[in-house]
Formats: sequence, structure tokens, C-alpha cells
Amino acid sequence: MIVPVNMGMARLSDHFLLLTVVLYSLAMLAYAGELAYGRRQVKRAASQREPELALAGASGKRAAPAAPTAGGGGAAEVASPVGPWVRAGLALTVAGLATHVLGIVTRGLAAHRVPWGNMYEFVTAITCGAVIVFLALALRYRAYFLGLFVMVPVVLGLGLCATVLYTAAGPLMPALHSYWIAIHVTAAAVSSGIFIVAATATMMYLFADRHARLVAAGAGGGGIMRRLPKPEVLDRLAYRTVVFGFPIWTFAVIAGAIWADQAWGRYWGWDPKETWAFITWVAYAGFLHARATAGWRGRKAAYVQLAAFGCLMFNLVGVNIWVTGLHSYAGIS
Amino acid sequence: MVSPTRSPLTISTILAAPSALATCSRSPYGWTGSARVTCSPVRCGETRRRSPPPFAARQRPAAPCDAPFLPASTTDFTSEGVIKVPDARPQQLGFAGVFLPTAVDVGGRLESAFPAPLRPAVSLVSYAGNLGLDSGAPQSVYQLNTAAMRRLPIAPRPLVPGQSMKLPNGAGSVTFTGYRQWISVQVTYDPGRLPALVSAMVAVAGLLLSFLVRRRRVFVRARPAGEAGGEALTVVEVGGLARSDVAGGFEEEFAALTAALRAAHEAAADTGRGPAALARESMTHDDRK
Repeated sequence: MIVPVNMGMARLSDHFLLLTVVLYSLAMLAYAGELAYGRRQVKRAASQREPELALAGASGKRAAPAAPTAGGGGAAEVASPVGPWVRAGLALTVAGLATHVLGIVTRGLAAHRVPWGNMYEFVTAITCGAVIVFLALALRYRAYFLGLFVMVPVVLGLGLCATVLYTAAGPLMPALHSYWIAIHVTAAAVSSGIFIVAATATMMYLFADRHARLVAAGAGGGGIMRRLPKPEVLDRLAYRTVVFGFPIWTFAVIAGAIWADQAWGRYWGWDPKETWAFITWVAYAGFLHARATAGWRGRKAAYVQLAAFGCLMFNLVGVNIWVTGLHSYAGIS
Repeated sequence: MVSPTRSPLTISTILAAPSALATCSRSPYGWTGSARVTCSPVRCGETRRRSPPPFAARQRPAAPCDAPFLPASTTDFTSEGVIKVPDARPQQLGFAGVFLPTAVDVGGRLESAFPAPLRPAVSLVSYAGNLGLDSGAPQSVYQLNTAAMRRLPIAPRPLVPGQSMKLPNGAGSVTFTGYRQWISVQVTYDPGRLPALVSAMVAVAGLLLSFLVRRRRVFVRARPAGEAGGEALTVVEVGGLARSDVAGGFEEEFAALTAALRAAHEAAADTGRGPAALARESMTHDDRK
């Protein structure tokens, strides 16, 4: 029989998530403050910068991109100064992440189940994943400059959660009663969070690349663009992030297929969600191939990655809301 | 020196096999409501034969008739169905019903909040007249042809199991006697499941390997290049290719290798053990920007 929802916990969860939105928004302001008023990076002549890049590329990252050799090489690569704005932003992000995690945990305790049974909960989970990935990159690579640009989609996502997507805590759809929800949906949420950060880095790469071209052409180009890292650094960061997320996404799709086999008697049935998961997978594979193919690096590969991210987002938003299929668990009517 | 680049990834298509089963457009499970319709002057029940078999009606008069309801929504299992009572007198009766597994009042409208039968209720709209069963045109058991029927002046209200509704003008009464869950079962045999799973696992393993293993290639070529001052010249070419840009640090490694080669050559030349040679390095690294 269905255990009633713990209303106290459910309210607590809602409050935690609202607090999270506030903290993330403040963090976003702090990162924006860093770009606007932060300490200027020491300007280096182009001739001095090149060896640094070569060194950065040669810093001996032999392990997985997820676990690069920490310290010198990684830090030198994308070093940005740690000023008071960045410190404030990081502190607010960590505080926000704490309330975010508490919000998810209390939601699970309220409903007595894994707290990703509908779109509200799923978006809450993937934004949490994105923030964790950003913090990991910030700590490992000192990629603080990502802060503002990761926080924008995260705050928007959580804002949509609190308004449009909000679904009161309730029991799980009976069709979802399986331990596979913990495996399949967790993997999907984690990889989606990673892909959000990768897409953010790629957008920044496109802007930084345009800026670099303008500068090379002698057209100037100024403002906050000067504070962004070099395009190569952003490109590499985006690539590594995708490389980290892609196997997890692959696993999520396979786990989904195993669950489908158990629940629906077939492991692949071209349900809209399945089809779009496959399209997303092919698109990200295309990005990884493009990176390895001459003539398709840089901007072109970046566009492929953004297209793949578009597929991912359509699968999350479009398929849930506009397409009817076996995955219609969004809880939105 | 440009060597053809190859994909650093090994990605096989693992998830594209269409299944033997078609996607179910309809939900494979739902609810069947049963109703007992009593009408004057005779008590009558549903007598039509229906398919599929689980819903075959019982012929006994006044026995509850089972009416299959189809889920209109797979998320809350609001289900729709009709009950046809062709033996009712003086006029045939028909009911169009909505079954709500968990009925809740949302601003005066009944909706189902949950697919499990937590507060089951059925709401019936009653019709009297000619069901049109003898017209010769085939009918669906799920639809009521109300062309020759009139709606009875009775407001539809939700009936909970056991509750009755009296029809106006002594037409009789209808009782919601209960509901049963039904499923439709499809049996599939797919011998490709296990191979697909194994292939998928191997593909993931290959994917991880291709990301984790640093693949690079170095070659050294020494070829004679004529003579100078009575000594044979040899050109030593060193080339390298990093196979994926996951592997950072190839430039440095390559530089160390060529330096070691040059040092070894110079040491050999100093001791007079080898011919004077011209070392030339060329470097190819697939990291064009």
C-alpha cells in the first residue's frame, strides 16, 4: 500500500530548493562581479603566451580526463586569479549546493522513494549534477570563469522547476517501480549535468575564439572577453568534459534498454525517448569523431557539440511535454 | 609530414536493433468496470458477446455485466468505456462512462490523480432509445451510437463501488458493482537479447579503453644521402603521430626522444664509431589548430 507523503519533509524540500535558487543567483552575481570588476589578468605578449600553451598541452595528462594529473600543469593551463569575487562566488555555490542536495534528499524522504520520478525532480537532479561538475572543474583546473556561465542555465532550470514544472511530492508512478530507476535515471541525470557544463564551455569557446580572431585581425575587441581564457583552453576543457560524460550517457542508454526489456518485454522499441536518446548519443559520438578528424576541429566541432546538446535538451523538454510515449512521466499536463 | 588521421574512437552501433515487438500505442493494462443494470418491467443484463474473451458477458439477466474500459491516459489511467443494454424495456439503454481510479475534485471537475484505484469512481451519462444494434452496421463495444437515442435528464455523478443510480421515469437503476484490473499480454521471444547486451558491454569497455589509453606512434627512418668529403651521409628522420587529443604531452615526449637520438648520435660520432651523419628531425603531431 502507498505510504502517505510526509508533508513536513515535502515543505522542507521546497524551501531548501528556493533557498538554493537564491544562493545560486547570488553566486552568479559574484561571478559576474569578477568579470566586471575583478583583478585584471597580467597581460602577456603573444610570444610569451605560446610556450605556456605548449607546456600546458604537454603537462602529461595520461589518465582519464576526469582524473587528470592535478597540480602544476592543470592549474597553469586555465589559471584565473582567485580574487574576493571568486571566493564569494565559490562559497555561495558550495552553500547553494548543500541546500540543493538537502532539498533533493528531503524530497526523497518525503515521498519515500528515489527523488527523480518526474520532470521537476529530474531537472532538480541534473542542475545539481551540473553544479557538482562545475565545482570539480573549478577545484581541479581553477576554471572559475565557468561560474557565471554555468550558473545561468542552472538558475534558469531551477527557476522553471519552482514555477512551471513544479509537481507536489507524491508516490511514484506505478510503472516506475523498479530499482532500475535508481541506476538508469541517475546515470542520465549525471551525464546531462556534465553535458550542460560542456555546452557552456563550448559556448564560451565560440565567443573567445571570435574575440581571438578579432584581436588577430587587429580589430581590437575588448570588454570582458579579455578576461576569458584562451580559446584552446576552453576547447580542451569542453572536449574533456564530453569525454567524461559520454561513457556515462552510453551507460544510461544501455541501462534504460535493460529496464525496458524487463518492463516492456523489449530492450529497444523506438519510443520517442529512446529514439532521441539514440540521436543524442550519435550526435555526441559525431562530436568526438569530429575532434579527431582534420579540418573539423575548433568551431565546426563546437557546432556539432551544440547540436548534440540541442538533441539532449529536446529529449528532456520536448519529448516530455509535446510527444506522447512510454516515457511520459513528466507530470505536466 | 601528414599522415592520414584515423578516428581515435571505436564506437559501434549498439542500440539500433529494432525489436520484434511493435511499440504499444495503447496501454497494455487498464480497468474493467462491472455494472448491474436493473430496468423495469424486466430485469435485464448485458447480453452481447464481446471480444476479447475476458469481457464476455454473462447471459443471466440482472447479472453484473463487465464492460471493458480503455485507458484514455496512461499517466492517471482515466478510462473510458460504454455499457449497452439492448434488452432493456421499454427502450434500450446505453451508458457512456468515465472510470477514475483515484477520483479527485479539481475545481468542480472530476479527475484521476493516480493510476492505482485509491478512490475509484465511475461517472455515467445515460441514454435511452435505439442502440442501433440491429441496423446491420457493425459497432464498436467502446463507442455508443447516440444518433437514435436521447440523453436521460439525470446529472452524471460519480458512483463509488456498490452505489446505485436511479434512472428517471422508472427506467430502472444502475449499480456500479466493482472493477477488475486487466492486462493484455504479449509474448515475445528474442534470441538477440543476450548478444545485444554482451555487445553493448563490450562497446562500453572499448569506449573506455579508447579514452583511457594514450595511443601514439613514433617512427625513425635513416636513409643514405650521398657523400660529403669522402664520408657517407645519412639523413635521420623522426616522425610522430598522437592518435587522439586525450593524450596530452606528446610534443614534449617527442622532443625528448629526438634529443636523446641526437645525443646518442653525437656520442657515437665523438668516439668515431659511426659515420658522420646529418640528423634532421621532422615532427608530425596531429594537433593542428
